[in-house]
Amino acid sequence: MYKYKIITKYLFRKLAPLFAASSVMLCVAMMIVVMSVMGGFLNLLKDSLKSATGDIVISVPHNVTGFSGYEQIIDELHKNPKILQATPIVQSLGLCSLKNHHVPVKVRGIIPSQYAKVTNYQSTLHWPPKDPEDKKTWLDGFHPADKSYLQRTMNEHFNKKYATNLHKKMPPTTPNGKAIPSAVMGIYVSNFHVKDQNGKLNFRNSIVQDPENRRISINIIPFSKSGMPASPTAKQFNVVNEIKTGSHEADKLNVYVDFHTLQKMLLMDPYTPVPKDPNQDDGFDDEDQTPIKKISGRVHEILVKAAPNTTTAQLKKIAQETLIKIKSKNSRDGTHYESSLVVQTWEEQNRLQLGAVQNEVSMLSFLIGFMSIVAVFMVALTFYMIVLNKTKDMGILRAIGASQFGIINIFLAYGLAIGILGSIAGLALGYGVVTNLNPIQHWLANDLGVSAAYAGTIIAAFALAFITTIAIGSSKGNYIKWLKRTTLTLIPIAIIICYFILNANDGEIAYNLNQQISFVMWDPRVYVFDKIPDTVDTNKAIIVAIGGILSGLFGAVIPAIIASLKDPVEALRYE
Amino acid sequence: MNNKQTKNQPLLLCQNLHKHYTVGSEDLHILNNVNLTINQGQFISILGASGSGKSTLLHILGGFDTPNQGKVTFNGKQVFAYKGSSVDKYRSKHIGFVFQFYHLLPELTALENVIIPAMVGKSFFAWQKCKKETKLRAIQLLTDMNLQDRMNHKPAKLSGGERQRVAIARALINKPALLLTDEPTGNLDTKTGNQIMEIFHALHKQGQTIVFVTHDQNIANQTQKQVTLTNGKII
Repeated sequence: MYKYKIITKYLFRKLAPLFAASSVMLCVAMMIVVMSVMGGFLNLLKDSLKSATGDIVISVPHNVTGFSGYEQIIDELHKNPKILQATPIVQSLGLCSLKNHHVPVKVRGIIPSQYAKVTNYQSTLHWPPKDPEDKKTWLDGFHPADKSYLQRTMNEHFNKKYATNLHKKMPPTTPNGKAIPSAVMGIYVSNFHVKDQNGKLNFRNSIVQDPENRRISINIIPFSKSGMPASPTAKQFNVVNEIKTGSHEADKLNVYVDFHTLQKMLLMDPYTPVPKDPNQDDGFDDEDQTPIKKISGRVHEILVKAAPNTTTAQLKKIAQETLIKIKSKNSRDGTHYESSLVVQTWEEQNRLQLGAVQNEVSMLSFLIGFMSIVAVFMVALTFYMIVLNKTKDMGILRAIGASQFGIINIFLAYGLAIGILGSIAGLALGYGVVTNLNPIQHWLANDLGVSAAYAGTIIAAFALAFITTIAIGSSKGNYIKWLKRTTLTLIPIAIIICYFILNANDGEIAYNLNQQISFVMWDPRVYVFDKIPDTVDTNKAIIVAIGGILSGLFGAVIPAIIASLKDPVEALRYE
Repeated sequence: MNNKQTKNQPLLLCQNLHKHYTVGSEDLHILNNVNLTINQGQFISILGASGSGKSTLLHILGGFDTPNQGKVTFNGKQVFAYKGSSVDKYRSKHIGFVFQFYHLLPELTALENVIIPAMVGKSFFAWQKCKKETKLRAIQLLTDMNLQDRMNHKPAKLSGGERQRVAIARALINKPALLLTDEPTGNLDTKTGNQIMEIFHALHKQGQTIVFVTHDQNIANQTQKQVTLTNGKII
C-alpha cells in the first residue's frame, strides 16, 4: 500500500515525471493524428473506389472489343439471392468537345437505374451539393430569379428526370435546337472548376448552369469484334449534372452516357445481319444457307453488387462458379463462351491506386512510431534521474521493511502511472486535434494575420503599460497596483483601436493581412477530398494508447532494477 | 510495546559475527567474532570510535545488512536463516530504526512519515481495515513527542530536534520489540540531544528494548549496559 502513497507523492510533486508524461502524451497524440488523418484518407479513397465500382467486376482485362454473352451472365447471376444487382458497362476513350476546348475522356455507358444500385451514382450527383454547409452557399452570386429556377431545375428536372434516365432526350433550349440525350460528367472534366480556399466547388463555375456550355460533343473510335478500328463517330449530349465520386482519377476522366446509346456508337449493340439478296448469285448453293441469327451485343464490364451480409470474397466465388456453370452449359450447347473472362474484386481492380496510399500510410506510421521510441528513452532518463535523486529514499524504505521487489514495484508502477497519464492526455489531445483539424487549418489559412495583429497589439499594449508603470510607479510606489491599472486600461483601448483599423475600408486591411500572413497546412484546392479526415479510429487509438502505457512501463524497467540493487546501508550512511 | 516476553529474557543473540569488505586488494575486517546478548527491556549502548564497526553491527542486528559469518537469533529464530522477504518482514515487524540524520521522506508530511512503515507489506484491503486505527496511533505518538502542531509539516519545515522526534515516532508505529538507534543525538545540540535522550529513557521505562549506538561516553553512561567495540571486537 505504501507504494501507491509514494508514487502519488512523486508523481505530482516533481516536474520530471510530468515532463516524461508529457513526452508520452505528445507521442500518443502524434501517432493518433497521423494514423487518423492518413488512415482517414485511405478510408475515403477506399469508400469512393468501392462505391464507384461495386463489389466485383467481370471483364476481359485490357480488351477494347469487350465480350458478348453478357445478358446470359447477368441473368444467371440474378438467379442467386446473394446478388443484389449486376449491370453491364460499355466504355471507350474519347474526345469531349466542350464550348472552347477539347479534353480526353473515358466515356462510360451505363443504365442509371441499375448502375445506381451497384454504385453510389445517385448520391454522388453533385448538384445540388449534399453537404449542408455547401448547400447554403451553392447558389450565392446568382440573381434571385435564376436561383429559384436553378434550384428547381437541379432538384426536379436534371437529377430525377435526366441524370437517372440518360436515354431521355432533353428538349431544346434554343429555338433552332433539337432534343439530344443527356450526359453526366465527372466534376473535374470540364476544367471550369477551381476549388476556393475552403476546398468548395462553386456552382457559378459549373458546366451545368449554362445552357450553352452544357452542350458537349463526344467523339469516339469504335472497334469491330476482331479489333479493327472503324470510322470515328460523334454525338452531342447535354450535361445534366456533374458527378463527384471522390476518386480524382474518375472525376477527371469519366463522362457517363446512356448504355444503349454508347453501345450503338461503339458498334457493340446486338444486331441482326441483313439477309443476302436471293437474286444475287454469289456462287454458293442457297440450300446450304443456315438461318440468320441475331448477333449478341458486347460490353466491357459487368459490375456486381452483393446482397447485404454477403462478403466480397463470397461474391467473387459465386461469380466464378456462375461463369464455370455457363461455360460448361455453353460447351454442351455449342454456344460461344468468352473464356478469358476474369472476376476481380474492387480492391484487386484498384490495387495500384490503393497500394500507393497504403504504402504512404504504412511508411508514415512506421516513421512516427520510430520517432515515438523517444518517449521510452525520455521515461528511462527521467527514472534514472529520479533513481539518482531518490537513492536515500529507497534506503529509508528498505530500513522500514520494504523489500527489493517492493522497490522495483514502486518504479514500475510509477512508470505505468506516467504511461497511463500520458496516454490519457495523449488520447484527449489527439482527439481534440483530429476533430478540429479543419477549423485549425481554416484558421491558419484565413485568420492568422488578424489573430497575429490582435496578439501583437496586446503585447505592445502590455509593454506600454509596463513602461508607464515604471514611470508612474517610481514616484507613486506600488508597482503591482499600477501595472494592473495601466494594463486593464491600455489593453482594451488598444484592442478597440486595432479592431477599427483592421475593419477600415470594408476590412481591406484585415483581408490583406490575412493574405500576407497565412500558413497553409493542407490546401484543399489541390487535393481530391474537400476536407482533412477528422474522425479518430477508436481501435487504432486504443492500440496507440496501450503502446504509450507500455512505453512508460518499459522505460522504468532498467532504472527500477538499478534502484532495487542500490545498497541501502550505503544510501543511508551520510546526510 | 508489543513484547510479551518476560523481562531479562534474551531477545536477541549474536554469535560469532564476522563482517568484512574487500576494497580493491585490501580486506577490511569490520566485525571480528562479535558475541552479544540483548535482553528484553534492556537499554544497551554500543560505544566505539568512528570506524569501529558499531553501525555495521547495528545494521546486522536490524537485518539491514548481512554478516559473512555467525548468526543472529531473535526470539529463538535465526534472522538470516531465510533470505529475502523473511528478513524484510523481520525488519518491518520487530525492528524500529532511528538514524543520526533522521532520514525522513521529504515529500511526505510528519504524519505521513510516521504512518508509512505501517503500510509496508499490507494490501489495499488490509490497509483499509487498520487505516483509522494506525492514523490515531500516529497522531498519538506525535502528540507524545510534543509535535501535535507540526503533523502536517514536511521535514524541510521542521527543526533537527523535531525531525528526530518524528523519526522516533516512525520507528515506534509498528510497536517494535527492538529499537535500534544510530547516534540519534549526534546531529543535535546538547539541549535538544538531552530532550531526545529523555524520550528514550521514557520509552525504556515503558519496557522498550533499546540498542543505542554512540561514540559519546556521557550518553553511553545513561544506559543500563555498555558494550565497547574496538576494531570490530567487543572488549
